[in-house]
Amino acid sequence: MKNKLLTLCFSLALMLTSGVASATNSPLYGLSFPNVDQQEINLSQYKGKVVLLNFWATWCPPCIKEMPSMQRLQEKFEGQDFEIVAISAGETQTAVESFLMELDTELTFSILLDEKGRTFNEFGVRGLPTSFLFDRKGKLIKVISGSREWDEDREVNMIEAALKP
Amino acid sequence: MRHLLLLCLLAATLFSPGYAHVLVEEDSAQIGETEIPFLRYRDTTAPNSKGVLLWYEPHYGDFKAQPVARRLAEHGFIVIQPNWFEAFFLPRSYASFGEMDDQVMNDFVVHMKPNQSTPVYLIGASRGAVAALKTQTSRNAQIRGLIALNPSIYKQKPEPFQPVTFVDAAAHCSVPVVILQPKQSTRIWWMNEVEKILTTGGAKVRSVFLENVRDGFWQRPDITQAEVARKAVFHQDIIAAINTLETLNEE
Repeated sequence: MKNKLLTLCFSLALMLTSGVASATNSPLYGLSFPNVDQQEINLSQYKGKVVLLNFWATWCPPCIKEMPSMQRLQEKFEGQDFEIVAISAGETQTAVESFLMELDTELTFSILLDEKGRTFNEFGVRGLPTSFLFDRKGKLIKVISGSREWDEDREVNMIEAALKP
Repeated sequence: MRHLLLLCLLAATLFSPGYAHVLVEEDSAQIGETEIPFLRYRDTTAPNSKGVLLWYEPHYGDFKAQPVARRLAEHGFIVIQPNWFEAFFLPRSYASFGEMDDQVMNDFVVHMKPNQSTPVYLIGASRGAVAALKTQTSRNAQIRGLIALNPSIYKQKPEPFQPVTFVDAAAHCSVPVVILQPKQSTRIWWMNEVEKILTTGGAKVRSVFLENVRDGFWQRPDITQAEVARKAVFHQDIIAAINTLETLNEE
């Protein structure tokens, strides 16, 4: 009985510790980049929220194709603990701004600029688009390679599952 | 069917003013029990060729004549474009390059060399670079170098946050390599690891970045205006790469 209690306490402590560690060490919260308005955005501000981190480029047709459905996904979860952050890596602010002006859909989620492309190496991104879904503690729960129709059932269900307490 | 294709290619060649002297022939080579179909581009008016370029295609797209290869033939090179997938009865897939018989590929290179003094260069596009790396070990052919076009030389498809492994041949490359890498690509962020693995076997490596174009731009169906312009002069990039290979050989 004593042994079982000890094991239970130990397991509980381990679970709590790993939870804290994953939040503290999350690659997400170490990121900080300017948006197209040149305001610095630190992703640690999204602690406690489910975050869909998307990597894209203006020269990548499938990335552009999925943008409108990503906007619809953002609108679907408006007011909930969910954020979409799209990082344009390796492109200048002018290139991204010009692209957004030409786009038929107005994007209300965060578009950040990683002009030096350091996140490509940090996240191991080798193809575009690539998206990462993080839970409220900043733990990576899904890697999505390639484009998606983000407001389809499968993707919506995935976000809903991540939002469940 | 093959004869019809050959006829079409000949007709296209004859009626195309830009390629007035370039002949594109469909042929095949018998290496042991393997028949290797290939396209040969050559200038029928050139007395001597400047060299043989073995052009290895990627796994995507259709096997068809490349306008860039025609341009290279116009400039005095014989371009050989083997269809490895058909030769080895393999699907056009990412993994197929790992299943190709190195010995047959090596023997093919020797077989296609017209004489001892003709220089041979390899061109590997995307996963085609894996095939090129496998054949650069063909000592008898005395290959002068490899031009890698947006090379993809991983053993398996890389996954985020996972370490990558390269095909074994990458670490055994001993001929000079010039990488022509479009800048509109995620590969530019991983050039260091590609260069590093290629130099492991003693190869001298130079990388050239191509502005405003994407990987495989010379054969993309969704080609942009900037890519059309670059495609028209891409043969010059390749000729410059050949010159770099020769410089590296002399160093």
